[in-house]
Amino acid sequence: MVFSSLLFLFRYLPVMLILYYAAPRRLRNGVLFLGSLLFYGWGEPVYISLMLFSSLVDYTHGLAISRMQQRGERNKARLAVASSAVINLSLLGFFKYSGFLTETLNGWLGTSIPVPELALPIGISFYTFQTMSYTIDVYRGDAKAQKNLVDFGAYVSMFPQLIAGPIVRYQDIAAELGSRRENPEEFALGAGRFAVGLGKKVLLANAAGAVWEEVCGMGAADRTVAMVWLGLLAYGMQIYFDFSGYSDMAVGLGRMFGFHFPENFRYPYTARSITEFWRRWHISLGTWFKEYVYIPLGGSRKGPARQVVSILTVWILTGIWHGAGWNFLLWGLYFGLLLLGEKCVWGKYLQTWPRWAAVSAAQLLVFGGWVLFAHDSLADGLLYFRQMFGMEGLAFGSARTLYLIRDSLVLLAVCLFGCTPLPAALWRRICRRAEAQAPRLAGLLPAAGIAVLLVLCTADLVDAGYNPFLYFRF
Amino acid sequence: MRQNTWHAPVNGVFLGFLGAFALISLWKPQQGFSQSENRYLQTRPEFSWESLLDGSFGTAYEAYLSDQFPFREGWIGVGTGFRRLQGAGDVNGVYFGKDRYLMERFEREDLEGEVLDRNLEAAAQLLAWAGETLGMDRTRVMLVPSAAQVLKDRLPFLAAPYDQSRITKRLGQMLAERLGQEAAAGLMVPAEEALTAHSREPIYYRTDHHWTALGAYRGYEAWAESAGLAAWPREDFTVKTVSDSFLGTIYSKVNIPWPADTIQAYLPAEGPAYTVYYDGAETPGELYNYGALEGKDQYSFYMDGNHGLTRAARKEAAPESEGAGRRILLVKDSYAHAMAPFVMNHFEELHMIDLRYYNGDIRAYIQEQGITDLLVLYGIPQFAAERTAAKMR
Repeated sequence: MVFSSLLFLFRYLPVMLILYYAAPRRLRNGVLFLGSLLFYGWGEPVYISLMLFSSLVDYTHGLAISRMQQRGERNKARLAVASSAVINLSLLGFFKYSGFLTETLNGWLGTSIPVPELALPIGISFYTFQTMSYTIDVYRGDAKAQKNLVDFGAYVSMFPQLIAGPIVRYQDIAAELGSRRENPEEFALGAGRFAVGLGKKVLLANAAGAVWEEVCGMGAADRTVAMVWLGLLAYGMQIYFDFSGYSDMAVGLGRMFGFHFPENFRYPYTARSITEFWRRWHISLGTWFKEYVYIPLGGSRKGPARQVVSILTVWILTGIWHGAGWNFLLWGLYFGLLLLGEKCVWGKYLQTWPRWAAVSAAQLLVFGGWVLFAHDSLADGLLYFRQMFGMEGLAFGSARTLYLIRDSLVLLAVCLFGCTPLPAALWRRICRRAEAQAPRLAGLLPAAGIAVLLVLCTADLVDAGYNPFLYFRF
Repeated sequence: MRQNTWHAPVNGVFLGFLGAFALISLWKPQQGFSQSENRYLQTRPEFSWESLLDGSFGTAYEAYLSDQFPFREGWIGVGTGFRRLQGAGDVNGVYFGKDRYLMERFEREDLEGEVLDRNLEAAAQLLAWAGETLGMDRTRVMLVPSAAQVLKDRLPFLAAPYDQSRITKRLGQMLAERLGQEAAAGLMVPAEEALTAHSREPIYYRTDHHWTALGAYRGYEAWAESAGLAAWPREDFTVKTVSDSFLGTIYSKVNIPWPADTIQAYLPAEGPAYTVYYDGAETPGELYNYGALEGKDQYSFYMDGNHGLTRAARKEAAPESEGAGRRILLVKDSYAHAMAPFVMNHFEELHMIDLRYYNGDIRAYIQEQGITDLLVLYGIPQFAAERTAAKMR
């Protein structure tokens, strides 16, 4: 199930809220656990068993590790962590990478091993990383082992962040799993955040996605240079508003149920370097790789050569985390190299650049990366690149280009504005002014905003034109 | 002050909105058929454990929720209005043209492709065969462009849709390869030119993808001239407006308040009477279905809507000058329905085959029924997308 659906908004969420708040406090994690399994299993019920298996494995491993640590059996504990990691990564590897690996092998060796055709269990990359963080945290002593299987299940399967992040580390919400305080004000903050996220996904991302689909869906010869750039801009907007919209919805839903998830996006398209971009984009994934891969590999503590290896490893892994394909691997490597370059070569000059120049340069590189990211086939991606620079004999513009610009001008302008902190600042200003001039009505302003968002999003969902789920590969 | 008051309205709006529509959608009676979308809506699926486990229940339930959502059409209208507000030139592939024309937007990737290739090949084969069997003067093909191709000055600012004449030209080339340049040119009725010459007249509906009776009359004139027949002048018909409440298929895609179209019938002041048989029925049907005007799909007024096989026979024998002994077959889509009443006046019998619903062999039919004339008549976008047109092969 996805958030941006009538099913979620008008069936699942109301029922879930009623059951959750009707249940006594000690049963609420149970309600969350069972409800989340239903959420997860809606499309593919068989995969519920996978999630239960994953939960059980990490639950028992966590307990075992904690006991071994208490007895001072560090080596045994280390083995247990390794066992948990192996099981988790095998599941991920089997479902996500086996097809890609056999295809690659077949290609290299000329063999014809049958390629397994497995439907990727939705969100597997997110929850595998979450459960791994749990056993590692227990091993490191950063978290206490969870004794209650239901509480643990609620953590692993928690529907708000289950399918598209943020990746919530166990230590982030361990305390709230045990005791949390839901209250009307938190709920309202959550509802507002959810509505904003829904609006980003439905009103901006889907509409920008339609522009991108048109450009990449037309015959390559019908494109023009201007159109290809426009399409790329639209794609960048789609993926940002889609992903950050999902994260907003997750954070908002979390608050409605009394949880505080970490923020996942902080205006990444305003970053003035690639390093800064990745501190602002999918923050929870970056944190995860830093905590559980980069630092254990030695980080910056074991000399420059080791650091280069660590950085490239992390970025190749980050790449293929996004999908099993060469384009994703290259996309990761591309960022790894750029980050190394910034660290060692041109980073210091970058700081002397004026802000606008640095931001433009960084974002050009980011959007260049999206070309790789968006095309499953490398050949298509390279063709798109060449078209961007007029290398395929494309005209600069055409009548259709003009129409497409006319059609998407307002949308893309709103998107660009929405990438910056300006809308939030503007909204605060409106609220302050309203409060000064009409204090009685000002209290209704947030409610009015949410009503407008809900109406427009519902209209779009009923129309059910274009509403893709982009993370089926993650 | 604000800290204490703002969250209650937020929670009220949020929970009220979700709760209210959840309840209404549970309580509201279900609708089986959508007149406006012209399709059966998904109703609430029966629960069973098997269907739940194989995922089909989930899929059907989501379709049901969307199809049966309370005030569905109103929501679609709100969505359309919002996108128009953003300055979009088209919404859901519908141009908002000048003079309140709603027109379908087609681009190359919508029309060109394997289906079109196969259909062109099949049509060329049938036409070449008919040209040789029935005679070049007895065989015609007419591909009718949609409104956006003809009413170019009514398109929204900067709109530049696909040039549908490319498809007509391709067919011309394929025929020329088989029959030679001159013969091929003779087979093609210049529909686009004829309609463009009358583009200031109401030849297309504002809310539907078909041409109007007047548009069909202009098409008929072009066909008659091409076929060497004298088209009946307009004065020979009494034009009767039979409906002024027609909101067609294009309207259904946008669902916002829009002025309705009128439907007209061109009734010959004095002309031969015909008996029409649909799908091989023994009992005759009606040439014009007045019942259809009560519903949504009012274009079905002409020739009773879609039938696989239609046969119209003159009640009294025709005089020599009025096509005695001549029987025409139309291989067609629904564009033909508005034009057939004009064409039939020149023949003893008029047959129509709609390949969407007819699976027989066209060549065998022509020979069995003593067909003397053939007209292949399609709207261009339909011809490009309709897989069944390849049955002409």
